[in-house]
Amino acid sequence: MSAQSVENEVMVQTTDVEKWFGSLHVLRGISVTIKKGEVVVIFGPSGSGKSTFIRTLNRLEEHHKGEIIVDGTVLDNDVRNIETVRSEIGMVFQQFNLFPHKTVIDNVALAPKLVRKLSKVDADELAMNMLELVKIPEQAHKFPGQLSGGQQQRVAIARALAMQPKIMMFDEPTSALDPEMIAEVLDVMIDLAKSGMTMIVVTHEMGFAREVADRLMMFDEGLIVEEGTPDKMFDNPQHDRTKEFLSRVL
Amino acid sequence: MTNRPSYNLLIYRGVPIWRNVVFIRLTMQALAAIFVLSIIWVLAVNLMNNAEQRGLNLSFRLLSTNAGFDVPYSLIPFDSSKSILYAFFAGVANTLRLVGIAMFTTTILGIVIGLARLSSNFVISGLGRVYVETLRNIPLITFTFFLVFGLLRGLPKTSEAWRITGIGVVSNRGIYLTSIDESSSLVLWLVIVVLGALLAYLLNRLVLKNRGEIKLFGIRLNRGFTPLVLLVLIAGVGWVAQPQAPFVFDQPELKGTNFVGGMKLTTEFFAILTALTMYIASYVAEIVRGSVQAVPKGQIEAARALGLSYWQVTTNVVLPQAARIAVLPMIGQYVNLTKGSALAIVVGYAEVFVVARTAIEKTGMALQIFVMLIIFYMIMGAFFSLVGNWYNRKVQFDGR
Amino acid sequence: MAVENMTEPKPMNELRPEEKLSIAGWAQKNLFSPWYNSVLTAVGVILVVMLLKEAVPFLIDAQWPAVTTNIQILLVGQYPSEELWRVGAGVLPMPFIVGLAWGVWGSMMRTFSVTLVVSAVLTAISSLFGDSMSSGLALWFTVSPFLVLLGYAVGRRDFIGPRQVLIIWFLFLLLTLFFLRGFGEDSAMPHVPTDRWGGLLVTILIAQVGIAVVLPLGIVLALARQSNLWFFKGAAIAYIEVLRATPLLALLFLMLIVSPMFLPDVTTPDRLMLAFIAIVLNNSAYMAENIRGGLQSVSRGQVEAAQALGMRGSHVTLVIVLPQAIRATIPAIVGQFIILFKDTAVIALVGLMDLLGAAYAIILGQDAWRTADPEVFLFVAAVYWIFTYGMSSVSAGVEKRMRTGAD
Ligand SMILES: Nc1ncnc2c1ncn2[C@@H]1O[C@H](COP(=O)(O)OP(=O)(O)OP(=O)(O)O)[C@@H](O)[C@H]1O
Ligand SMILES: [Mg+2]
Repeated sequence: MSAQSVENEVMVQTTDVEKWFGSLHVLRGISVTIKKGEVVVIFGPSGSGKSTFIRTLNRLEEHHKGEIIVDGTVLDNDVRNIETVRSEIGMVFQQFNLFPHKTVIDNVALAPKLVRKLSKVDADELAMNMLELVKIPEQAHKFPGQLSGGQQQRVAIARALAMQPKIMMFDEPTSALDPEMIAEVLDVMIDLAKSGMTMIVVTHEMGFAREVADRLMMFDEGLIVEEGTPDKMFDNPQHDRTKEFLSRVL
Repeated sequence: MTNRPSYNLLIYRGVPIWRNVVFIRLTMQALAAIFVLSIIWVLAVNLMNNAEQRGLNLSFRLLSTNAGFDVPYSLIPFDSSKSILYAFFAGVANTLRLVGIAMFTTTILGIVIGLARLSSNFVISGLGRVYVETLRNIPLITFTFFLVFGLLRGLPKTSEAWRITGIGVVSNRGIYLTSIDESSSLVLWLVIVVLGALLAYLLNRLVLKNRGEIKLFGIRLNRGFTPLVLLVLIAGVGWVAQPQAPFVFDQPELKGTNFVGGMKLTTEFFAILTALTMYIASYVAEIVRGSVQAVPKGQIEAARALGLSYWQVTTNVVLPQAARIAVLPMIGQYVNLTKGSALAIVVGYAEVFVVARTAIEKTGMALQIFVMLIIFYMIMGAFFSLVGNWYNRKVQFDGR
Repeated sequence: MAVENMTEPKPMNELRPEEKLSIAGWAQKNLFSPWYNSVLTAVGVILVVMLLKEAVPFLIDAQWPAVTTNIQILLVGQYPSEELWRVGAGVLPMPFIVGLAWGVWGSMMRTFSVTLVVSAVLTAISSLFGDSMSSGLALWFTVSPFLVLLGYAVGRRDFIGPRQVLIIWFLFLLLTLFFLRGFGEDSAMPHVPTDRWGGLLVTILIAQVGIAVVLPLGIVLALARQSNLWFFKGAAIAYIEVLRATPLLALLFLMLIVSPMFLPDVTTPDRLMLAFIAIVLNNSAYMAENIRGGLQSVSRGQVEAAQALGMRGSHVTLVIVLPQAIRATIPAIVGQFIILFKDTAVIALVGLMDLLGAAYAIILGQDAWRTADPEVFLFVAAVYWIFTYGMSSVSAGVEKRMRTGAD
């Protein structure tokens, strides 16, 4: 594969994705194309479908119409495809969702052991590397409940990275954190973005967006109302909804 | 807005069918269903074969044939010429009598012991603790055996019966309680009471409408309280104004070798009632204690800080909240009472399970009667859980 | 502030005032004030005196030989005398495993183990007075406390953990059952049918095997009820709701009277087995509900996090959800074990010879002891009490540990 084609390799492609919760039409036709190495930041008002959209990408939610292709794999009812996509996308949640009954290192090493079939020794070594990446190797043998929120979220990032995913998704990773802990998590995410990881980030941390995002998407009522580079979106928003929303968060 | 599309998920983009999520789910369930159904099938075939060989009749029509046995001490009139189904309902009535009375006695005893355990007086709390720890740690049936054997042997002869003035007498022929009988003036009195209640209700509406601004002889009328006083007054006047009181007390008297008058509880009934009451009360006591202790300390401190006295805090803050916490576990204990009533088989009090046993022995219709029995217990269980759900919803609705 | 205004600091070791209360002061505070407390105390003391007045003469005049001469029936039922060594040897692992559990789980198991050790020691000592207990039995009660201690010593070692204890317990339980049951007629251990088993032996065996079966069954049922596959869900709901509504006693009669109608004509089912199944059916329904509560307490995010990592459904359930659910439900699980243990007594009502059934048989079957029912039932109640009290203390210990949050 030439360098050129790697640059343009499409990691995520969705076409007219629609979803309902009962009679509530949550996604009303979302089409995006995300290339390898791109950092995409999604924002928009509460209830606009941001979480639902990224959760359809790894099938935590089923979509009802349209097509989702992740790194060449079509997300449909094929169990094998679902497993493949899930092990290629790492996900970080707002509420961390660490496994409270396992130590930090076990949290990180678990999926490599069960899914990638790594031996315990290899998985533990991998886990330690990941913990060093997020700068908390010294907490390896504690339980999640003994860590601060910021530390927990960094463990969650390490846990997702340990599966060596091609794409990382973040759903408001800093909104459950105390202000003084937000920076430590954002630093890790910025490092990750600069290392060339493909990232889809739902966040309202506009500083982060301006620093690393390649593209911003504004969601409203299940649609992408506007998208573009940070400069274009922040300095010259076209759509009224975007102007209104940005004036409130900036 | 478009509607959510429905399309056949089984035929989807040429995915091999064994990897299709929908297909996998359907097959797993189908396999399980086939497994369960085939077990049921085998059992049913066995049943048919056995029925044929042993000449068993499995029809439910048989339940309407003559019972041919008696249901002693039946609450509803019964004799052996009535149908088996009727006997079953006589048993149901007896169960309801046992459970109904036991719910009452258990609750009272349980509250007394629970409060005793909460007492700061260590003699009292110690006694409560010994009671609870002893009973909770032995099986109900062991306790029932112990108690029933002792009771049946220990009760005095009629000539030496224990008399408790005003309440009744206890002897080995049964327990006779002073009963309250209606007299000829009851109907008139009830009419008066109903009219009084109507009046009280109207008065209450009036007071509510005028926001408590009505005064009578210079006294401001309360909502709730004043109508109640009115009702009590009317009922009282109606009671004394008639030549004969609406109720008379019927004291049991020794006539020959047995007692006459009063309300008779057979020794069987008394024994099973005592066993259930004493045993389940130990659980109720723990619920009472737990609920009182579960009222948050902050509630009590806040009330004390407002200047309420100890008694005011207890009656206005602690007990209402504790009662709310206790309701659901209490319903659980009433369910236990219902199921425990089957232990009447130890003494032979003819509640539904004992009747069922007798009917099976006499008629051999084990299957039909057990189906009836299980339906009965499921209805009882459903009743209690409905009450529980209703209460839950009400509490949620009222807000905390 | 002026220096001369400072007072001398008080010595640190002065006791808090209320700790210096005299006995009279303590009694005054706890028993006699305010006035109604004195009344309560008086009522309480009168109650105690009345109880003692009944109990003491009874205990002095009691016909304890009704218990002591029948101790073998109460412990093992009609198990053939010449095969008794098999019972003794077969249940020897039990005290050892109790000790192991004590060593591994520590303070939680202490009261349970100590209660059992003290009871065994007292029984052994009592065998020195009077000669109604066979020497083999006396030997067993003498040896078993040492086995508990041995187990404790082993359990304290690092190489043995909770999982090992459970496995050892389960394997030995199977072994015990085979040992008691025996093999062919002319083997060294001839077959002893279950209708000869009885007494405390049967009570304890049913309880233990019941626990071993009910927990996994309850887990499966709870998972089925929580699943989104409608057939599993429906089947589990039907099973749980029907069995929870039916009294165990009715279920027991149902198993013994009706279930043979559904079996091939040739089989004569083992009555003890049928009674055991009734207990298992009933308790598994309750156990399922307990565990379902635990499953519901595991947040949805846990499942999603595991799925997002690409874990398979079975892994998500077994590695992520179940361990957390079970941990959250341990007090309820232990509570259910206690209920199951007490439930075993019901089988006495269908003529089976468990501990209570043996007592019943002695009173009704032996003319000499027709009036000894208080003694025999008191003894039986005391035995149940010892075990249940021990188990309750385990449950209290678990709850305490969970409250203090120490993992
Ligand atoms: N499991 C569900 N069942 C029913 N409705 C849901 C469910 N999950 C989300 N919704 C609804 O779908 C809509 C979109 O939800 P979503 O969580 O995607 O919004 P969001 O943009 O992420 O908002 P927020 O900023 O609050 O996280 C909301 O109206 C929400 O109430
Ligand atoms: Mg969201």
